[in-house]
This record gives sequence, C-alpha cells and structure tokens, in this order.
Amino acid sequence: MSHVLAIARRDLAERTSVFIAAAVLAVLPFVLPAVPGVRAFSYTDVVTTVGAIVAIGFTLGLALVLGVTMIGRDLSEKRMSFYFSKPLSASAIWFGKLIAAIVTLVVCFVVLFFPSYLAGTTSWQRSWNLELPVAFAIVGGAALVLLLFGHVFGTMFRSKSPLVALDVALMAGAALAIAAIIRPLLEGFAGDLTTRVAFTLFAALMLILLACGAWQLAHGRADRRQNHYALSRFVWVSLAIVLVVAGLFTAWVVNVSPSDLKTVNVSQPEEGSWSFVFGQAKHRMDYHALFLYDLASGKSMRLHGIRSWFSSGLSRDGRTVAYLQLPDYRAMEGELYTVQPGTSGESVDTQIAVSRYSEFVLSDDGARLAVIDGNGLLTAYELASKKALASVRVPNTARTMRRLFFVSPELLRIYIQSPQFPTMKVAEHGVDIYEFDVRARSLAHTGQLRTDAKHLGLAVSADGKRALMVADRDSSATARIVDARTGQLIAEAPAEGLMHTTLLADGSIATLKKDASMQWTLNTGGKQIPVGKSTQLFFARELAGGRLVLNGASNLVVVDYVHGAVLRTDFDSAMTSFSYPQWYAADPRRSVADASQPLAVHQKGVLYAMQPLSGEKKEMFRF
Amino acid sequence: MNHAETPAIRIDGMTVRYGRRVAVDTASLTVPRGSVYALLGRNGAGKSSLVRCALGQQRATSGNTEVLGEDSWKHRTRLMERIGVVAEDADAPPEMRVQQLADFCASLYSRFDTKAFDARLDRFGIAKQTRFGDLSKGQKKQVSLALALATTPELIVLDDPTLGLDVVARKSLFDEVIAELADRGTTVFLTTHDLTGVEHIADRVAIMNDGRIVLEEELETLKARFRRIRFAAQPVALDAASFRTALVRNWGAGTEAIVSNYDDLAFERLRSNATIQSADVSAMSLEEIFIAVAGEKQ
Amino acid sequence: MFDINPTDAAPIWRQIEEGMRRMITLGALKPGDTVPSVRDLAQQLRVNPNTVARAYQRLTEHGVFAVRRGEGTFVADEPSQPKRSERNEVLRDASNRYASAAISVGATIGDAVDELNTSYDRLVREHRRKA
Repeated sequence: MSHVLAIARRDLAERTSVFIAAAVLAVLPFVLPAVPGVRAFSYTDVVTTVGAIVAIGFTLGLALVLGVTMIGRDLSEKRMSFYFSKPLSASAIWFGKLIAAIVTLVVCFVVLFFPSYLAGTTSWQRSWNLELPVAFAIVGGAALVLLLFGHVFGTMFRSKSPLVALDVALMAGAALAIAAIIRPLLEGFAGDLTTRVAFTLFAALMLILLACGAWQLAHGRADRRQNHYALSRFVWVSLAIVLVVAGLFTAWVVNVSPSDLKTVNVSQPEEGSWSFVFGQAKHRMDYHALFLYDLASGKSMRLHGIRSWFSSGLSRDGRTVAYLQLPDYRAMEGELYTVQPGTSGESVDTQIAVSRYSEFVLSDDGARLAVIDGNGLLTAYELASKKALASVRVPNTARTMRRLFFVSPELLRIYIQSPQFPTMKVAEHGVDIYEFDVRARSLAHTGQLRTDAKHLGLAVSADGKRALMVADRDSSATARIVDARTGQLIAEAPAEGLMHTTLLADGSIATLKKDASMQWTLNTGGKQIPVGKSTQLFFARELAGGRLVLNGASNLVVVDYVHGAVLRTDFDSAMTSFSYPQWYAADPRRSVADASQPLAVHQKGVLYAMQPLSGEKKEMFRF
Repeated sequence: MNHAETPAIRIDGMTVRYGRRVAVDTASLTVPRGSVYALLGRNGAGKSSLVRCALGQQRATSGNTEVLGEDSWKHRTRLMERIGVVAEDADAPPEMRVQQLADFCASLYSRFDTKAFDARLDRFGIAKQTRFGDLSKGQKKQVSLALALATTPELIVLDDPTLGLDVVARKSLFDEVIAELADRGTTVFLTTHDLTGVEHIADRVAIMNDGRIVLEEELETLKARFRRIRFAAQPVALDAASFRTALVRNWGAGTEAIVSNYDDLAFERLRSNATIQSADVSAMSLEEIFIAVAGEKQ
Repeated sequence: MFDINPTDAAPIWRQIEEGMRRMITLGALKPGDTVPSVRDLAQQLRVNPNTVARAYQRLTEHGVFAVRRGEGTFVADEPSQPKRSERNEVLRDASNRYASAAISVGATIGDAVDELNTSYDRLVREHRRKA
C-alpha cells in the first residue's frame, strides 16, 4: 500500500502545472462579466453558469488526456524501466498512477467549480434542475469513463501494432453482442430489467477497466506492444466472460413457458381453441411474454411480439395467426409475422411494416391480408408470395374507426365509422360503407348509415350479410338491422345499450336486462329467458345450435335461446379477461363457435379449459 | 540454499524474438557470486535485450533466467529489492530533483543508505537540488549509480555505464564500483564497449555476436590463450601444430596470425622443428581479442 | 607504484605480485612497511579488488607479506625471497622467451647478453625513482 501511495505522490508532484492552470481558470468566470456583451446578464448567473461549464469541460478534457498519458507517456518515452527496475509490483504502479489521476481530477474540479458555485448559490439552483450529488455522480462517472477509455484506446492505438484491427473488430463484436443481449429484453416489455442489465454490464465493464492496467503492466512490463497485447487479452477475455454470463441470463429470461407467468391475461378469439396468453414472467422483473395456447391440448407456441388490440389476428378457419413484432416495446412500428398454430412451423416474416395502431385482417382461409393505416391507405397482400396486390386510399379523418373484412379473397368490405370518440358534433355520426375489388383495384362507396346518437356501435352478422347498428343516447338505445353492404334498413328494435345488445346468427337481436334485484333476463326474438342473478352479465360467445355463453364477473351461464332454457350456470369461475371486441375489432363480424370448443375459464388462480355444454373443466396451468 | 553456491545470474537457452528478427539466439551464461562479469558485443549484438530479459523487464521468447536463485520474470518485484540497476538510458523523470529521487527510492527499499548516497554525490560533485533533466549524460549515470548502490544490493547490473562519460567521469565511476566491490563483495554484471576499462576489473567475460554467445570464460584464461604471431614468411606449419588460427592476414612483407589456443611449449617445439626462422609472439589486449572474435570478417 | 600492462602476457595478479616483489627487492618497500589496503591498491590500479586480494594472498603464503590482526598488512620482517625452484621456473620461462626473440632477429648470444644487462640496469633505476 505504501508503494501505491509513493507512486501516487510521485505522479501528483509532476502535475503542479495542471493545478496552476485550474487555479487560473477558476478566476475566469469572475472576470468574464467585465467583457462587453456579457454585461447584460446578471453577474451571479454568468459566474455560476460559466464556472460550471469551465469546471465540467476542463475536468472531462483533462480526464481524457490523463487517461492517455497516465501509463502511455512513460511507455512511449521508454521510462517504464524506471519503475520496473525497482521493487514495485505492477499493481502498485497502476493503482498508484490511477489514484494520482483521480485525485488530480477531483482537485481540479473542486478548484474550478466551488468558487463560482458559492458566488451565487440560488441562481445556480435556478438554472440547473439536477440535484448536486446527482450532477457530481454524472460528471464523475463521465470523467472515469473518459479516463479509462482514454487509457485503453491510447494503449491499443499508440503501440502501432497491426493487431489493433483485431481490437476494433472485437469492439464491433462486443457492441453487437450487447445489442443481441438487450434486444430480447426490450422486445419483452422489460424496461426496468433492461435498465438494470445495462447498468450491470456498465459496472462490470468499469471494473474490468479499473483492473486492466494492473494485468497489462504485469505481463507487458516495459514493452509497449506487449502492454497492448496483454491489455487486449485481459479486456476481451473478461468481457467475453461477462457477455456470456449476460447472454445466459437473457436466454434464461426469454425462456419462459405459460406456467412461468403471473398476472396473466388470456384472450380467447371467438373461433377455435387457441388463445393468446400474455403475462408478466415470474422472477424476471418486468419481462412479459406472449404465447399462443391451445386449450384443447395444452400445447403452447411462443410469439416474440405483441398481438394487436384491435385485430384479432386469427383467420376464420383458425389456422393462421398474424401478430406484430416490434423492435422494442416502445416502438410504434413493427413487422407482421404469421404462424400456423399447432404445426411445427416457425413464424414467418411477412415483411409488411405496420404501425401499432393500424388495423389488419386475414382472409378466411388465411391466404391474404389487408392492412389499413391511420391515413386511410388500404393495401391487400398475398402472404405466400409476400406481394402487395393492390392499394387504395379510403376517405378518412383522424377520428374515424376503420373496420374491414374479406367478403371473398378478391373483395374487401370497409366500414369507416365516425367519430371514434363521442365528443364530436352529433350531426357527424355515421358509418360509410365501401367495397374494394382487389383485382380491378376499384373502390366503390356502397352505402352509409347516419345517426344523431352520441355512442354508435356496429356489428356484422357471421355470414357478412346483415349489420347491426346500435345508437346509444344514454337514456335509451335503439338498434337497427340493416343490409351489411348498402346500409338499407331491414328492421328496428329497442336495445339495451352497447354492452348488452348483440346480433345473433339467425339475424335477430338479443338483449340482456337487469332488474332491481340483479336478476337478468335474456330477450331474443320476443322470448324472455331468465338467466339468473349476477352483478354483471355480458354476451361472451354464440355457440352453434342456438346457444349463448354469458359471462359475469365470476360466473358463467350457458343458455339455449331456441328452446329458451338455461343449460348450466357456473359460479366461482368465469371466462378469462376479454374485451368486448364486437364493437371495435377490426373485423366487425360476429362468430359462431363450435359447441365442442373449450372456453378459457379461470378460478382461484388456475386456468381451465371448460367444455361449455358439459361443464367439464380441465386444469391447464396455474398463475 | 547456500548463497555462495547459487550463481548471481544464470541464463539458460534464452531466445528473444521480435517478430521475425532474432535478437538473442539461445544464449546461456552464468555469473558467479562476487565476480565481475562483462558482456561484450558490437552494437545490435543483442546485449540490451538480454539484460532487459534478465532483469524481468521483458519476457524472453524462450529459455530460463534465474537471478539470485529466483526466476527473474516471476519474482521481479522482490528481486529488485536486492538488485541495483544502472540503465543504458537514464529513465528518471526529468523534472524530478535529485533529492526527490533519493526520497522516492528510500521509500521503496527496505535499506537505503542515505549517508553513503550523499557522500557519493559529493564525490561526483552533483548538487542535490538539481533537476535530473538538467544533468549531463554522465552525471545522470553517476546519480543512477549512487541510487543503485545506496540500496546495498547483492548484485548490480550496469548496461553500458561509461557511454557518454568523459575520462574523468569514467574513472570516478569505476572507482565507486571498485570500492563497492572491496567493501561488500557485490556481484557486478555489466555490458560495455569500453574494453580497456573493463579489462582490469572483469573476472569473466562473454562475447555476444548476432545474438549468440560465441565465447564465455575467465578473462585470465582468455588472455592466456590468445596470441598474435608475426612471421617474416608464410606460416605454413601452424596447422600442423594444431594451433587454431582466428585470423590470418598479410602484415608488411610477412604474415600475421592470431592464434586462439596458444601454448608456450607447443610453440617452442614448433620453432625448433619448423623452417620458420623468425616469429614474434605478443599477448593481446582484450580489445584486440574482441576485434579478432567479433570484428568484421577480413 | 607500478603500472599494470594489459598486453603483458602475465595475468594481472601475477603482475601485482611481481611488482610488489620488485619493490621489496629494490628497497622501495622495506620490511615492516605498511602495504596499501586491498581497496586502495585496487582503486589506484583500477583493478578488481579480488585480483589484488589474490596477489596479496600469494604474497602472504610465500611469506613476503605478513598480516597482523587488527592492524592490516605489512611487509614481512624477513620477506622471504621466492624459493629457488620458483625463481628458476620464472627465470626459465622468461629466458626462453627472450632467447627465442633474440634468435628470431638473428642476434648473437653476446648481443643478447648486452641487451639483458642494459634492461636490468634501467629497470632497477626506474623503480628506485618511482618508489
């Protein structure tokens, strides 16, 4: 230790000119206000601002210079033998010089900063928002980085060895490796985790650099090239070890299965047994994962992306899923990927760039995809060839909701529903209906609907022929059944608000109504069917054969609306959280599910696949 | 370990390569304790590389080096406590004053004889407040020597200590070394071009040529076996008497031969047997021997 | 006191030994006189102290020098001359060389003897002057 201090003292004795320069510069902020042009500003403001700038600038510049010369100057002037011919260990030499450099930086900063800071305390705090300790930590950190990087780059480049090209290549490699380690975390919404990993990597790098000099001098001694080689070996091997560990960590983080999730969100599309399972992973801070989960078999497929809020992403034949892959969770744009759930196939990059808030739909057979963006630009793609078939601009304003579906692979129907928010002028509510012929590339305005109500909901029947428009006026709501293509009125009926009105497969309207004692009644085609007591009840699914699944907060009711009977009621379990997509999903069509398809149901932290008719529950996983 | 038995320096098969250039080629030498060992060689022969590796300042490409019984690369830090080094290039920081240098060194070694150091500086006539960079080349060497000796080392290594010194400075440097030898029996290992100066004090010499040690022996034996023989006529019979000639060349009207395995009796026998009438044998100075061994090929 | 000749065939310690003997013979050093310390003579002659020590040791062994404990080295009270056999050996070696040199330049024995006389006288005078 005493040797370390002896060397530190020795180096500091050589730095008197630096301290003198700092002392002289410390006077500058006090003298500057005398310069004409500067006089206009408040004296203390100038003093403290200039003083802070000079202090930081000088310290950071000095840090870089010291980094390069600390060992570098003795090496290039062949004066290292002065130390090596004495009983001084390589560590003593390195740490002695390092301490001297740090002390020099601290003293210079203090000498430059505090006189002007004390000259006008309040004005300084006014002009800078950071707290003093935080500011010092940042400046100190930057100075340390410059010092150590200056040393590393100085050693590598000043040795004039051709192997420096290898160092540069490894630097690029390390940068790529770090990006590869961080990226999967960002893709998984793990902002906090990423920050922590990045900070740990930075700290590890600083530790490596703090130690590198001791190793370098122990192995390179008085020879400049050998110093370079020893430094490179130490830095790259240590960094490789750190990156491998970090890589293994990221690999572990990314490797989740549905049972590793807590706070799970299971979203079941209206067709098929595949659900989207999304949740925060246990023990992985804020890392989230998305899966396609088959309620029938328990198989899961990991999707490295997000599902769109508005687009269900599942083709009607249940065989193709489309989802969005974002470069990181804050990105607004990404690329669409498709995957065939249940097969061993990998996700395919469609190379279609889509914004997070665009709507997209798959054709029923999953062969084609249509995207409509916020500006009304509609494009139809063929997935197999990844070709854009046709494009057209649909009349659109910023406040409209765009919904569309493939009537056939060659024909798209588009509903432009305005406004999206009910604060617009009442006179402007309505829906404009268009059809787009993909082959002919022609857009036709086929119909429109108008209403003066504040809230408007549109749903299309499963066969695409009829549409239901619900106009909600707060006190009352009316429902209109219209032609899905032309908007021509077919029938009108009272409704129970957007949340409790739906369109059945047979083209009729069904409503749910609650009385004062929380007893609910299902009203279909004139039939009134009591469906039990519940705090809340919503239309969840229509099953083939004239049955409805109604979902409450923690209960489930299956009703045969043709025969007007409640088939089963389940208390204590309910379908997993799902939004009510019928009013805003990109595809406005209702679906009819097969009665044998299981429902995703949760009870006491367990996900079950429940047969709607028999009520049989199979435990899938716990969360 | 018996101190008297382990050599001060033992180099075994040292090779030093810089890329493709071989600076030291499988060099081996042994410096006995208490001896004065001179390593001679022309410029670029590889002496400095050998010394640097011996002192653990550089890593040899291959070979073993033991100094005072310990591996000089692995144990450099604790070995330097026992070794004094006077480098070829003065390497102390130029702004450092001589007094500061002394204080710095005193803080690093367990033994530092300040009185002896001051006395030496006095003898050299150097003021303690002078900055190292302001000293002449010779004075820098003198200060380095004073510092090296003040730590009472068991071995001192001097790399070309008289380079750049005038006659007076050279004498005073040797004076100090001799006094040290007499007082403490320190082992001395030096490289030099000053063959006349070293001729008087070296016990053993080694000659290095193109990275190889071409000769290593006691100085006395070396001088005993080299002779210059001048003939008025052709020296036809030399080979017959199995004399090894290092050099044969014309000299005036006759011939001059440098013999490297001279023996008085053998030569007398030759003279009485052969037809050569006149031959003049003279001993050679170390410088002349060196030129014969390491000089340019005639 | 005397010079060391590096091109002399004789090794340095032998030259020192002979030089000391010469000085005693010539009376430059008298019995009982102090002899320079190893250190001083080494510095004076600019030679390795070991070499001086070796010469001194031989001189002490042959009874030419005497070491008094605590007081240093002195010329012995009765400095023994080299043994007859030793002396003969030295003379034989030197005379061989001299005779060879004389024959090789074609000198007669008379010339050789004359030269020998002249050298002997001159050396004695020189050493007396130096001491």
